[in-house]
Amino acid sequence: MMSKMIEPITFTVPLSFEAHDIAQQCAEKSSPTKFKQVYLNTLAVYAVDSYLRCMGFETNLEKSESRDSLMLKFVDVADLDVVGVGKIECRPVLPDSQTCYIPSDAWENRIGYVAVQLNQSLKAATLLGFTQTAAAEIPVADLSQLDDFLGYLSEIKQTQTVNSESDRPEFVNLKQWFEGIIEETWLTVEQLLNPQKVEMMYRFKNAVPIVRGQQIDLGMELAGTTVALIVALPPQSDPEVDVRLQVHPTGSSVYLPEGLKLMLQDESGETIMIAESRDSDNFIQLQFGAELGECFGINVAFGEASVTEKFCL
Amino acid sequence: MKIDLQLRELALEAQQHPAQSRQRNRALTKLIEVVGRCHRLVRPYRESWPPLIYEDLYNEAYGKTLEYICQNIDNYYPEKPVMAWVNQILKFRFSDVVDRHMNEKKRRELPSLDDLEDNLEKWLSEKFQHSEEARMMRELREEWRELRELIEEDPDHLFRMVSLRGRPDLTWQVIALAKLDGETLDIMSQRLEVSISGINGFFNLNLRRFRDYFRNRLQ
Repeated sequence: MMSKMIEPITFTVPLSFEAHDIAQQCAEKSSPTKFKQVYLNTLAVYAVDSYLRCMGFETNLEKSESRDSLMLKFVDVADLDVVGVGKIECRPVLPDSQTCYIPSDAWENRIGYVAVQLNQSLKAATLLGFTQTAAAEIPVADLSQLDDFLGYLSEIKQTQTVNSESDRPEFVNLKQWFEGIIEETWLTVEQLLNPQKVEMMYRFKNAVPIVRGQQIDLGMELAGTTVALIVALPPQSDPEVDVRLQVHPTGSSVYLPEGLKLMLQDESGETIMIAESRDSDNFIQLQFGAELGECFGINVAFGEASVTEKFCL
Repeated sequence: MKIDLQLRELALEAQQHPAQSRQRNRALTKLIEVVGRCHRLVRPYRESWPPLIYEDLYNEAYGKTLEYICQNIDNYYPEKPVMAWVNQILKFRFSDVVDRHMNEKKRRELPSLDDLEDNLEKWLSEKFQHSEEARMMRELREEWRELRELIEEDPDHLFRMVSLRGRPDLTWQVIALAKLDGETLDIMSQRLEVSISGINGFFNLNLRRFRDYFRNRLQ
């Protein structure tokens, strides 16, 4: 980070008839106790939507849970679906508040969170900044710049475009793993990782899980460090399966390079979850539930290099 | 004028870079900031409207103007001063807004944060003369009550038939009712001793399955 003081960039969106009409409609579809929260959430989503469209991104409001009348009765979410990127949570911040609150309903399936400060009259919304990772409370001062937010979105978009251009029609048939049919290219953990790292990291309620991995080639970018993608499944398939993915360094490296990303994508290619390695991470992990018949993509990216593997249960 | 030069520079800078690029977006953000604070925006038809309504009309038009500028920056010709271009767009947008929103019989006031804080029903019945809005809260309560009853009674044995893996006591019915009653995931997770992603995945998956059922049953 540079030592010179960077002026915080914010962006203010005026809120008038259109914004309030939509807020009213959504609040009306929620529940009596959620009315106010849904109203504010909708204004926040409106502001971020306006900002992103100004900055050249395409949004998909119909795909957002925050506009879903059934969902709105059960949860407190303010998501905005960005085409080719994924879901962003847009949290309203009260006028004099220095804290952005993120409810637990929104801790999953989001690539990032934007804090939107509303003024007392609810006629203006100011985008304050963003964060990649959720927490119950985030001080506004800890948020990253809007400028970086746009860069982050572009990065994800580029990764996904690259993936869709590569011709990889095959997918890994995970359902067969439960039947003991596993391709040779998927090695056991003992074969892949440094023996000292092979611990029982994959506990599934005392049952022995199915664990396999593959070396991932990220070319020149990693300059000698190789990584392995590990897939862990419970021993039996249920209608819903708890899937765990990890990326480990292989060979003599103990740590992953900083900035390595592991992304979960749904069938349409949209990113649902991201894990990113920080300084001195031994591994990074994603964990999610998938139902039989569902397909998803796993992308491992570092710098310009990116590898995607498609899986179907 | 210095502002004119600065704005023109920013507009040209934006044009030189592709859409979605960092440089273009930075230039656009700065341009909007300068436009907003330079006090050179027109106030079209100000005399025709009472000040409070005018403020809302103007805000709507201004928001649309900003979107237009950003999305059409490539159509800006440098021979023209930026402010002249912006003001021209603003005038058109203002007319659009008037057409779109002033045809309703009674334009309602936009609520402030205080209005939402207080008793909502009080606010609704006092501010609105339309019987529609007054009825709205009652309908909302009704819908919510119907949904809750349907889940609780589970006449077609759907919601009790699925449960979290390894936890037959945690049926979708149990989870859904807790959520309807306002329990957040983190509290639920602690109380039930199940992971947040476990509950979330299970709930969402089955909500998707039950969606059509709800649609048919609740209309």
